[in-house]
Amino acid sequence: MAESKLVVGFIIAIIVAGMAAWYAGSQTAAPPTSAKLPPSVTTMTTTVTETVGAGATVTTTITVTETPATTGAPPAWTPPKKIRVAWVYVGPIGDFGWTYQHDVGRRVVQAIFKDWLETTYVESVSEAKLKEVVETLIAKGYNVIFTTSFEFMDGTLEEAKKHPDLLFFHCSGYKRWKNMGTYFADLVQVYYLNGLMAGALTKTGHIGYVAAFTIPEVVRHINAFAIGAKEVGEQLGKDIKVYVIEIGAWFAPDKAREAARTLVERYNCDVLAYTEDSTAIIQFAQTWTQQHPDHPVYVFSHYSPGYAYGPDVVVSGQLVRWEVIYADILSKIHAGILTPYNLDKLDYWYLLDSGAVDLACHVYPDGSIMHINPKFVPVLKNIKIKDKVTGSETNVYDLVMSRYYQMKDAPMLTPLEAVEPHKYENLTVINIAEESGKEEKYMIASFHVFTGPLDGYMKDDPSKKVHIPEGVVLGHDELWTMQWFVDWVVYLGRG
Amino acid sequence: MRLVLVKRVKPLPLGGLVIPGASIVIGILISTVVLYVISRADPLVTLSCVASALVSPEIVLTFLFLTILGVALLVAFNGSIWNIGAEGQLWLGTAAATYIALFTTLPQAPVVAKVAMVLTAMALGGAWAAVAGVLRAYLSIDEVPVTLIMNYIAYYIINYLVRGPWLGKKTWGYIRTDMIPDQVKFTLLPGSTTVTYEVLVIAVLALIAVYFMLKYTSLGLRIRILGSNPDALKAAGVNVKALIITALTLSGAIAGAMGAAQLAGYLHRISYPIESHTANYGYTAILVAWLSMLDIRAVPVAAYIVSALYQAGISMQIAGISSASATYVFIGAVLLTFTVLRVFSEYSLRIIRG
Repeated sequence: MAESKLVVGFIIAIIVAGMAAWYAGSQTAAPPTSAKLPPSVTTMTTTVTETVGAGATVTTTITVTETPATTGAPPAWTPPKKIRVAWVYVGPIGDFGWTYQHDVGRRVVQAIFKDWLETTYVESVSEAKLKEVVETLIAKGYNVIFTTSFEFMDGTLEEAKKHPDLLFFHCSGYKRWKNMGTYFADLVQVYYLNGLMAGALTKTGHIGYVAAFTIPEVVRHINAFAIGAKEVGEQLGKDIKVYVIEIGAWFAPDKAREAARTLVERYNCDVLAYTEDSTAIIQFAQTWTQQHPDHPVYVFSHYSPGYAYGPDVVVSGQLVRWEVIYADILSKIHAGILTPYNLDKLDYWYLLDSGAVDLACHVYPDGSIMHINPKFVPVLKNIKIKDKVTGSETNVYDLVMSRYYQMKDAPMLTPLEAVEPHKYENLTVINIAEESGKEEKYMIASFHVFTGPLDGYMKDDPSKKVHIPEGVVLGHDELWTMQWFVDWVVYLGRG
Repeated sequence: MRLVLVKRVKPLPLGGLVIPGASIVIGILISTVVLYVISRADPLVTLSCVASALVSPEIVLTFLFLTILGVALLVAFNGSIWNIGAEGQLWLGTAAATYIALFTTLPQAPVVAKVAMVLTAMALGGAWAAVAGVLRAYLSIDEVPVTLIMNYIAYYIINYLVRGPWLGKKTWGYIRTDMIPDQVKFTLLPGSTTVTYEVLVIAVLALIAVYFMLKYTSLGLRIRILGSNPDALKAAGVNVKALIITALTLSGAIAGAMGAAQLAGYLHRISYPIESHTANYGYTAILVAWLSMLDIRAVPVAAYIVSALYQAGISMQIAGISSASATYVFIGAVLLTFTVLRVFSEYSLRIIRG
């Protein structure tokens, strides 16, 4: 049969061609650097530090750090002339949430550093395809890879170990290697500011939160939001409760909309915040408010500027500006500061003072941002309260802006982060007097959201109580692993 | 004057080669035009992305997975049993392997555990497909919707397990199982982060075993006759009901084996929810089966082409000329062209005057 011979011949030809290409590919994929690698940097030590949290609490923090064995001085490394950077996104860039905002960051650095930077991205990559995609990018000569989803952590680490002279950065994870750093822009402070406004605007005292997953990141955001809401709501005589529904997906407009509807209809919530990467909840609140003008539902936009989707209901929101982090990392690679030998200590945790996150719900055509929807500014200005820190009379708008600047005006924190991650974050005031016994105060940061006293319960076992004593400030490690809710959060479970 | 389709006495000669080949070429050309019209993608760049994908080593894992699944589907398709459920069967295979790796003491003996993972995965994948087989054999319920719907049931069963009893202890609030122990992970080929020896062995074994089964065994002969003339089988006293169930069970079992390979060789854990973490290999494999014209020798070729087209979609994104959906333009155009050409291989177009 001529036909079957042809088929067999075709198969053989393809296998031969494939093998040849594989061989050729593995030859040409050799990275463009003059550096020689240390011979055996493969052993991995796993340090498990267990610390009991603030005071006599049951908060248990487990920090897992993987550190490659160091072998003397790192080899000399020359940064590539042309830095070719690729982003691997978990969602579509059109999600108008997480991935959209990362891609804005990519486009910003591309425009600024066009002389020596070339960027690309691959969107909608599933965990099951990550390593193939990264291998493809490397084969095409990309030498810096950003992977922007927690579930890419282990795959990114494997690729980093396999390609020791390329640079990898993983967003939101905790595993690092000598050529793999981690970074995150955190929204605790912004959620707290949103909470202040939520506590002022709610009539029922019931506030809803639609959570993608109750991972520590989202748990601390829920708590920060609840702390803000209670700070204002309590003064106005409201019994603040924050109802949480977990939908089990980062991008699920239908589930998010239904969860929001449940919170409004069944739990009488009239202010919503959320962690989900679509505009579904904003659109739901806008439609609901048009249909029920006597019972408006207000909402805080998440990640991307959502004002345009609900101009009557979006009060404010959280905006992330990844370009601040990307510009920092890429310029340091270009300058030869970050190399494939020193990333195991790189763990950016960028807060309000860095500019990587902001209180905003809209970007105006000129590029400037809207902190608070102008429609709500007079409303918030008319609600009189006291600042619990200073005791002075103020209004909600002024309180929000005063807290905003208290947290934003901490210009030392971000540069200190590069010295040693998380070491200096909780500094508030230091004494710079050189004579003993004297005191000369220098203010580093003047407000921390998670300051005791705080009482809560473990998410997985509500019978276990958590108590943070007065004056204790929770730091990065406690926030990073947070698995407890403050008492006035009601976790309704997975929707 | 009117146009009629007349069935050919014999299909076009060399149709088994010409039709898939032509549909790939024409499909790629159509995609190039479509992508140019929609997103102004430079046709030369598009074609160079396709060309480079064809020689790209990154496609090997997808190629092997699709080969295994294509072989699995061919067992059923050769008997005209349309198993659309490879997706669910493979994921249940992944779940079965996860159970062995995480919740039994077998991993203490790694080799035993690996074999057990694959065999249990085959058993569960086969049993899952057999359900559709029983419904088809005894109640004459069309297996196409049944196997399709059962994919989602499989997803949700695993979702339930991962959210509930299988939820990992070291997951930091994420809904996923723990990692399987290192000793039961499959062994990576040197220089690769994706391809393992075991998945290579599974692919080769599946290909050879099914080839011989279909060509040289009475079971294979019966399955093929089931596809062309089931009445003859009944007349010859063959238990057609049992044959249908057997074909679907074998098909599901091979898909299940791929599921075990996916877990032990690549994913190492299951993340919730399945529907947003799957690479949809089970559905893609249907295209592979069709492009092979149900000839098992052509399955690797078809799997190679399809995995290259996927890779071309990724390359086009990297080249910045298209979004993630470019892949579906390629796959859709090829499948559509194939369907049209197949009609003309079996029918001829005649113009009748008057």
